[in-house]
Amino acid sequence: MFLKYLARRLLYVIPLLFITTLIVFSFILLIPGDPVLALLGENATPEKVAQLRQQLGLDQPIIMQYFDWLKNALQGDLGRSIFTGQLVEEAVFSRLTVTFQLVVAAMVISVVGGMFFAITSIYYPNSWMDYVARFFGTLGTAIPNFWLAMLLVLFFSLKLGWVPATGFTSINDNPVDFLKGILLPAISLGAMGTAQITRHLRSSLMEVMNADYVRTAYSKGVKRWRAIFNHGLQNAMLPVVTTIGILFGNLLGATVVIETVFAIPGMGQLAVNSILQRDFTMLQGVVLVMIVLVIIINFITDIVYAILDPRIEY
Amino acid sequence: MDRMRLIFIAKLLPLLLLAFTLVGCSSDSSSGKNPSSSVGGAQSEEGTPKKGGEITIAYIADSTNYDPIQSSSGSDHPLLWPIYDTLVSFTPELEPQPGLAESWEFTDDKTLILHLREGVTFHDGTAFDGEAVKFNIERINSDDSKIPDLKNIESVEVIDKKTVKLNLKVSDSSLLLALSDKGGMMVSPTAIKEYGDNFSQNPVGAGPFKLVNHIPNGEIVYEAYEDYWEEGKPFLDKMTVKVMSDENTRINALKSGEVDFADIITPANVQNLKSDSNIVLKDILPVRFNMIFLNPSMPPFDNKNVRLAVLHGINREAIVQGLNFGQGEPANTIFPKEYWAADPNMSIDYDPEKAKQLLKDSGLNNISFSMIHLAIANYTRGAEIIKDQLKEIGIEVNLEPMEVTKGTTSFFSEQTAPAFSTTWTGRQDPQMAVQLLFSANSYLNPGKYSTQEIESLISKAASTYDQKERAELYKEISEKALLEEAIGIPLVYEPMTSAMNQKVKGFKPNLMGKAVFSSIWMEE
Repeated sequence: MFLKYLARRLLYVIPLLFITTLIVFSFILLIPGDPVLALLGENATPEKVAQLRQQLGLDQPIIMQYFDWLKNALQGDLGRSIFTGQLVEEAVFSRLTVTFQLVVAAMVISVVGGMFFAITSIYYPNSWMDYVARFFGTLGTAIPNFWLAMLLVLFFSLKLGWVPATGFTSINDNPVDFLKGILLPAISLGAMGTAQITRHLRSSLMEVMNADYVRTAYSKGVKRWRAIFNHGLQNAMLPVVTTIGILFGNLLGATVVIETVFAIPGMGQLAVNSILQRDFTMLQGVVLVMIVLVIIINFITDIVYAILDPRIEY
Repeated sequence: MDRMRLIFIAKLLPLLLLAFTLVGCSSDSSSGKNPSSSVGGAQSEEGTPKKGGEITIAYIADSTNYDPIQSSSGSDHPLLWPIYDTLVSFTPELEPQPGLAESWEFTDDKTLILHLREGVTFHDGTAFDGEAVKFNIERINSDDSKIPDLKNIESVEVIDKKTVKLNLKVSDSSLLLALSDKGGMMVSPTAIKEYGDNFSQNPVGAGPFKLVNHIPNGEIVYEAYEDYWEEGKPFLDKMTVKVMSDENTRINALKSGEVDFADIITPANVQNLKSDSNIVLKDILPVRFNMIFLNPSMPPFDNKNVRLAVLHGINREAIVQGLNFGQGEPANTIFPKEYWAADPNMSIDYDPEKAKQLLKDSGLNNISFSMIHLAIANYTRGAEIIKDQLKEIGIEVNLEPMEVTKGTTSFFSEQTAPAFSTTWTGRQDPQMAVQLLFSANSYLNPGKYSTQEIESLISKAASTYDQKERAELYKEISEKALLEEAIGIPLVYEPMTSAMNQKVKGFKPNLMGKAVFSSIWMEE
């Protein structure tokens, strides 16, 4: 039964990948502004423009270009950057490890922060802690992450000098520097996630805590924190898992801004620079990898769902 | 009641925290002790250069490519110059000086002899000689190249190991400085053969620094080339450039000590940095300036009077004051005052009455036009000021904000609007500037508009090698092209500012406004 469910989810992925890549591919080529002109820059002449357009295959219809690209992509060849000549897969995968570390750090902050606020708020309902938690739940969603990032940099880097304002060290190179460097970007990125998880977990916990079986547990003399952790949380986590799945995609998208603010050489920054330069081969690679990542995460979410609640069938 | 108060405080608390954060931070920037001591000036009194040490630099963008013939952006030079020495070098005032060519002479209008420096090697040990020069120039003029500057060289003859002869198609006074641009960057012929298409990932030149590590759009690490031809140079052992496209990020990195040097600071932030006593600012008014490109083949600019009305209807001084906090100067011609080719006496009068009269003379009513401008804060404000100023003389401007590539494509290729407010980045040699801005066959002149007289003056300047005579010709060309024809509308010169901590010495801004990092040394 579970295997059948798994197989069906897997089959959905194929048309999904096909359609999303086609859309993305066309959109990238439809971005106004000629990549050839961006490439030639100050040296553009009409002859060079025509020659280069042909060299890059940009004189072909978009659908032909798409199938050419798809054919190569399926064989693992994403082409070369039209600017630097660097292999796209090399560039993307070296950036991926950076962005992955950032997103995971932000995820940890979101989940830990979100659970902390939600549980405190349920444990002390209508207390000042509840209001603080609910306030952060609104604030985290309302504050733009780049603005939060600037405030954090102003205060913790420039004023107090505790952590660096820019840059990134990989966890493999130096775990302490990694933590110092990742703190502010991860908080700026994770604020939104913390807020979302707080709100979802709080409301679903509230519902669960009023359920009959929790009342039964109380009547058997179970302590309040035990009721929350042992009885409430497991059942209240279901909507949170969905939120985490969606959050991953959101965070991946938000790296575009945060990586630029903190000068972190990750996928988001690569995406921004590729768009500005009209480096469409690089951009296609970046977007493809992002799409695949999101699809994989959604797939995992679905499976976790089924494991958490065996009653679920699709 | 008590609980209500608690709730209120609880809701207020985060806001208060935020407010404290803001106040705490703003007090920092206003506490600068001696605002004037940190500004410029110190260039000549920096002491004797010390060898050793390293520097970290924040720069606006990565090079579009590390193979000079593939590089396409004007912001690439500072990242390429450390790796590649050029045949001819230039002074901060943009006059040619010996580079890999020790000396040169024009034997006639169309023949240039270069005497090459001896004992120069590329980073891979290959000797730099006449054959290498021939190889490079032919490569620069090949179909793979994006550099158009040397197309005028018909052939290269190697006379002996240290002498080459360049035969030109027509005389070309801009050639020497073209050889200090990307066209003069010498790459190792051995490395080209070895790496082929991968050369841009393994660049090998004869410059003071070797590129040892490169994370595209992230970080570029250079190490001193131990066999560099010039004794005692470079001063630094290592140089790391971090790419930070956002200006605030560059400034934050400098203030918090992650970088020693932050390049390309706009006038708005100069004010803020001046108050920081740990930071040294060096600036220059470069050959680049803000201008409105016009397309005289499209209405209303096919009418000369309208072009001239725009020229005289703009109050440049007001833009300098209002937009750039009084920094910089009005662009009265296409070169800054200190430059040898400039006419310091030339002036474009702000005269609204004259402009209104010109509009009357044009015979047109209800004049309006669309102007593309870059969708970047400073350009948007500039465009709004222009819209406002032109409204006073009776022209309605419709603003079309666009991102750089889109704007460039729309104006120069697709010709969707008759005006484009942007920056002219300038060229090493004034001949390239007048050619690109005012000649009918230039890509930057989409209306293909010029006059017989201007064209013949440009050709005459191309075959004049005496600097004084050239300067006279450029004055004449600027007057005709701007004051009589208004082919383009210069607006203002903005200072190019670099910010650094007090350990950084030896940096000299040049009139190109493009940083040459290799002269830097570090104190301590």
